Amino acid sequence: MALGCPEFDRMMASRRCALRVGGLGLASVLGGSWADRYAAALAPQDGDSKPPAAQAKSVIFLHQYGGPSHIDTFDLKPQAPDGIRGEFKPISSSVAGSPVCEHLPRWGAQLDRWAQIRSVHHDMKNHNPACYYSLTGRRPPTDDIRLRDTLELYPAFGSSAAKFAPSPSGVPSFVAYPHVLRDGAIAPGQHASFLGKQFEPYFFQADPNAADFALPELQLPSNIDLDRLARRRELVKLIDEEKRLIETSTDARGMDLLQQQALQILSSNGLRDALDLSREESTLRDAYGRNTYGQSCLLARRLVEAGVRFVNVYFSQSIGGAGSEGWDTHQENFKDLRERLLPATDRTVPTLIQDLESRGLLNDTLVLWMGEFGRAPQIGDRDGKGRGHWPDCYTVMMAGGGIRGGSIYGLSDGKGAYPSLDPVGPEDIAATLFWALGINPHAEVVDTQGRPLPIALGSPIQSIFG
Amino acid sequence: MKSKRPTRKNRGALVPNFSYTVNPRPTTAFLPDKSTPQTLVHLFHPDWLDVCMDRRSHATMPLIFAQPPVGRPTGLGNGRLLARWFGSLVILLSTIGWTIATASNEFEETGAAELRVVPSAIVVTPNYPARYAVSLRKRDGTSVDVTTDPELQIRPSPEGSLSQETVSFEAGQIRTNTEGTTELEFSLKGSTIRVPVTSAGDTPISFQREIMATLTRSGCNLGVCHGNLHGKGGFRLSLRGDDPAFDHYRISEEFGQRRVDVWQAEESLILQKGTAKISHQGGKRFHPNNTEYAWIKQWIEQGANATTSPELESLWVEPPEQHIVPSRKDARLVVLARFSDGSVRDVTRWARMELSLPSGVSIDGDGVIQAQQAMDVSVGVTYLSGRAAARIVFLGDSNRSTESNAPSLNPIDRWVEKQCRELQIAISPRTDDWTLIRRLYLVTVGRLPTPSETLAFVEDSYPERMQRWVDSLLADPDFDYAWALRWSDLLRNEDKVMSSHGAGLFHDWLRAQIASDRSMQSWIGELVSSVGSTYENPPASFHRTHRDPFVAAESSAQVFLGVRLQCAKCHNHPFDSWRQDDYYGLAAYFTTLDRKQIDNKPKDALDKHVITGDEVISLSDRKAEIQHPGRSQKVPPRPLQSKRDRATSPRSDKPADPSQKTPLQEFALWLTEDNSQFDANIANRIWYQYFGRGIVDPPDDFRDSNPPSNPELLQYLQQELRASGYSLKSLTRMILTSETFARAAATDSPSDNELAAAPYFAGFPARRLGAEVLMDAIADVTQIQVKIRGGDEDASPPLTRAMHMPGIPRKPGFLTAFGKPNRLLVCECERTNQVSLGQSLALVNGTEVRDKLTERNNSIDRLMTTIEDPRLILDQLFLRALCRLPTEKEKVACLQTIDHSPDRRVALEDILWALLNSKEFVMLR
Repeated sequence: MALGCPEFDRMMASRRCALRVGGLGLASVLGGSWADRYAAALAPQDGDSKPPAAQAKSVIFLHQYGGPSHIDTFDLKPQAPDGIRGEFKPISSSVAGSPVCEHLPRWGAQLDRWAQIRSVHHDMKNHNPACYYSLTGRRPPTDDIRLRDTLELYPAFGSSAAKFAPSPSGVPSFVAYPHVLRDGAIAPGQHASFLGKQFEPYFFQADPNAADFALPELQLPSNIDLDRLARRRELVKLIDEEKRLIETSTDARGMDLLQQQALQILSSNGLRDALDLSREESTLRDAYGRNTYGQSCLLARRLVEAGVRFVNVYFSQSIGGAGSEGWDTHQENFKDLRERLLPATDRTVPTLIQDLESRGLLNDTLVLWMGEFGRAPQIGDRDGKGRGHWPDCYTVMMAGGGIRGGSIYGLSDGKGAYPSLDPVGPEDIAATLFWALGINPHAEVVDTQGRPLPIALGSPIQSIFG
Repeated sequence: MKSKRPTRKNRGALVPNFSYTVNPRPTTAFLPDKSTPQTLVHLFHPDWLDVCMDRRSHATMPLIFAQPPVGRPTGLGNGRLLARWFGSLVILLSTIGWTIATASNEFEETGAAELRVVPSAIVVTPNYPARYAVSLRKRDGTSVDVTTDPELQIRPSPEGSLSQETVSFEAGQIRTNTEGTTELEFSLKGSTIRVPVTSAGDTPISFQREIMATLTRSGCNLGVCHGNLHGKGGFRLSLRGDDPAFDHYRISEEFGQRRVDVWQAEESLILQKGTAKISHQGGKRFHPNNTEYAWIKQWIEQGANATTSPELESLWVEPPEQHIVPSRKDARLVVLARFSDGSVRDVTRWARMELSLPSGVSIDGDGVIQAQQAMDVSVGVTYLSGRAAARIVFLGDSNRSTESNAPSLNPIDRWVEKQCRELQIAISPRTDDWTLIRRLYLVTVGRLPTPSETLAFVEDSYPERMQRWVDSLLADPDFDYAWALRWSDLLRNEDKVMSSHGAGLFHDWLRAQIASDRSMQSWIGELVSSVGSTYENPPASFHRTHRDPFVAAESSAQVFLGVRLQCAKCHNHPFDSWRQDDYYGLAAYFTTLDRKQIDNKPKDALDKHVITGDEVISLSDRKAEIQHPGRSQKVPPRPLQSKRDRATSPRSDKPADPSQKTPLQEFALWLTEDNSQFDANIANRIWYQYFGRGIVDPPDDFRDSNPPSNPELLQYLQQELRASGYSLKSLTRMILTSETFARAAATDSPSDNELAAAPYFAGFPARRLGAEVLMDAIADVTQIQVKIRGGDEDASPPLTRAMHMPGIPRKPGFLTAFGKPNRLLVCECERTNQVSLGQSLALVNGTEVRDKLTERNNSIDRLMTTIEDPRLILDQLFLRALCRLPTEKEKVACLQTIDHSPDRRVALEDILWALLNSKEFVMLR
């Protein structure tokens, strides 16, 4: 609240705003519909009032498994009491009145490219259900710590995008790597589910940072050159022509098209070149960070350049914490953030944005940075130095793809514990990213029971665009 | 009209003096009936039931429900009809401009077609204008809609109390404000029909009828709008008008009656929002000039009370089925409702009509359907609490033969061929022997025939050859594996819940049931009612994998009856007749089960889905009952009841069976004994195994609005299944020896004016091989064994056949990419035959193929060491992979490849790669 963002001041002046704050209890029950209804009020009042148009061609979805702390990164609470405030000092950023954590200096300098959504919340306290929620925008049926992944659950964002806005041929529409997210069991929401196999992500687990990073399926073995592949292709064409299955069977025709695509991928540059990180300047590779996450983000840019619609980059394969991999900082929250998580993030993410911008790709590419939830305001989990899970309020960061840099949507209360303004659900994040891609968030898909269902239940937050 | 169920007395007795069009479309009706399936069909047909009842209690209006009256221009000795026809002829001839010009080129010959009008008795009121549909029907059963034909003449008969001045006809609608009766004469090209018309007054607008219909019709109570569990914008209605009392409270009382204003009805929020006069997120739902607006306004002016009206007794569509001639792509329906006071209303405008196909066809509020191409489409109709369905086949114009070239004695073929004739669908010729034997092996034993088996079949000249080959395959242990795989999919036999040891035991038990061809009725009954240790008594595993009463109820309904109840857990099923009572009644059977883990040591203590070791299922002596969310007290077990017998089914009121049956045993008995839905589902599932497509498809979605593509065929199979004592092998034998099974693959992308052949089995539905079959086939062709590990803690050596895996693979990989299910759902849809880029990459360059091509001592090496002549090697490779010899063209090309390559093995690798990547190999065709 101390930030005094101009939108907030304007809101306080209006009657509707009072109604909104007063009605927060109801608003949080109704989730996105309220947020949306009043989003218009937040839109810039000066200049033209034309609603922004969707303009992203691709999405890079950076997912930090384990749950990054919002209160120690972007939604700092310097006025909060000791047990909440945390160790990190705020430093000023390129957005006036919006300081960031001292361990994110590069990101802070670039904050004017980003929109912050500070009032995201849901009610799943376990990693897998929350992760599913964050990857699909759908509330899981139960908060089961080992939520099972079935075809009844919803598809990943990228699979819906692949269905409604496929990439031009030659590259997959949806690529996901370099981990399978799992906490005891594979977290649902990482695949096409009931949408069907044709909308599955092209997924790999190879490490883009490895010296020998390559995807064997995309790499012809040494004894097969392009000539030999062409010979094989001729033979298969000849055999296929004999029985003319392709003329009579849709499946055979589909298989033929996909086979052509597979052969094209194997024998041409497109995707294979995109995956060849050795083509990048070594200095740029260094700038991204010579680690799995850094090189994965670099790869994301290359994939987007090649025409891929949706890229999911997973920070780690497990929730980690305590120095291991992910963002689940129950112990040593500050040490882990300071020494491991924030430096890597501050090196890679701002580099990605800069790189996209310098190539003229940023306006076409929406970048999301988020986890499955935030972290508890009260310090003291387990070892007394950690923060527990906190789905009740956390921050989602978005840049590019038409985002109005420097915007802040929604606010948290004085402790960063609950939204105090414009609560947003994962449903609205889903609607926002579909909307940004020009896909109708209410476009329908059919599940295993034949129920027609909208791909997103929320409403797009349009006021952070334009 | 209290009883909705025929009694013993009238059951099966045809009513004299009426002609019937029997439409044996099975409905989801579960009557425990001892009569033959054939009789059941008659009994369940809605028209038939109505005739029975009306003959008993409503003798004055029998005609309404009989077959539509048929006008015959020649009269044929019927004096009255002849006179009537003459009368109309005179009238017609006197009409200025009347010519013999035809309404449709299809019907140039007078007398070749009959004029038909539905409904057969018309009731009209000011609030409910009546619709009619007039058609010309050819002798072959095809028809064309002539309702708006300019040549059609309609006039009231002079004897009635309604006259030309007081009745108006327009575009298939009759309106009048004068009460009275008359007969309408419909005449076209010399044919005339008289239809009685009654014009009555209206009862006051009632909440229960008019307002509820308005809300549904305007879409207010849909799931995406106010019917949502959380409502929209703070206003919630029951989903699709499930609960009128709830809705009345929300509209008239909630928030201090803010939504209605009885003093100034037009200022009511509900009208202002509905017409978008004030901001409404749902937009404008109706216009102030619409009836919707008028009704709501009138009802508010009346005091916005929870007024009731006569209950809806039945809903039906006329005509229930039509076959439209190929040259026309439009048809017309009339939706009629009968209420508890005996009144009938035309509710076409107030019914929600949903089409079974998502595109290429549309229906408007007047029941006029427009199709863009030949198709077979069903219309699901909902009005208040009623459901009905109609089927319209827009026939195609096939220039190929619709007659079979190989007449067969197998009754399966008779039904298929009859339908193809009626629907004018081209029948594929018999496929060649090479394709047939490959198909036969793949669907029965899940593997390719060896070269010698293929050649032996092709050279077998024994007349009853197919029977012999089918019999030998039915005795092959791989037949048991193929079916155990299918049932393991459906029964969720996976390693986490079952433990790998348990999954293996359950799989063995399933195989044993198939191998001994035990009656399916009997083993399925045992399966659902077994308790005890799942290691000692594997069928008890059903209750290990289905761990709560809801899951058990949903799964039993879906797997064994082919119906989906899931929706009815939270609200009455929106597209089907299932109610919450059905759902909770079924779930109550499974409430007395206890489960005890014997040696449960999961690696991950937090993962409650893992059960290692044995589990003992037992029955407690708790009372079997369950909390029903809509009722104040718990409900006892109750079998599913169809809409029609719901009211007074003796079963629902029957006191508990005095015999000492457990609830599970009672359930098993109801499920499997004399349950026509069980029979239909099992027959359909068996058919699905061989054709990859159900007669009802998807096979686990029987619904009025998803009818079987060939009702007579399904009926017949059902009957045979029963007659054979539920023998899988008997029915299999009959199916596989039919001509229908032996037909060439159907094209699944017909031209616009052709009906797709596959749904009617006019040709074999081609599809991709299943994951396991494909993996094993690659291994067989390359002669490099599969090496794959099953379940998580399975310490046994890797399996050498994917088909034999009891549970699911340890890691996702080739099998998962090709659609092997994780067995977490009972839906057939969990296993998929879809194609994907990942699959193509796996075949083109994946290790499963690549390594087997290069590995030493594979089939290429073996052939090269024994055969010198490359032609003979080619023959062998083609026989192995495609079960045929290479064509001349293929031979030349392959030999060229061999000649041009410095290394023969390399050339043969390329050839084998091409074979494995050919569509012919990957497809079951």
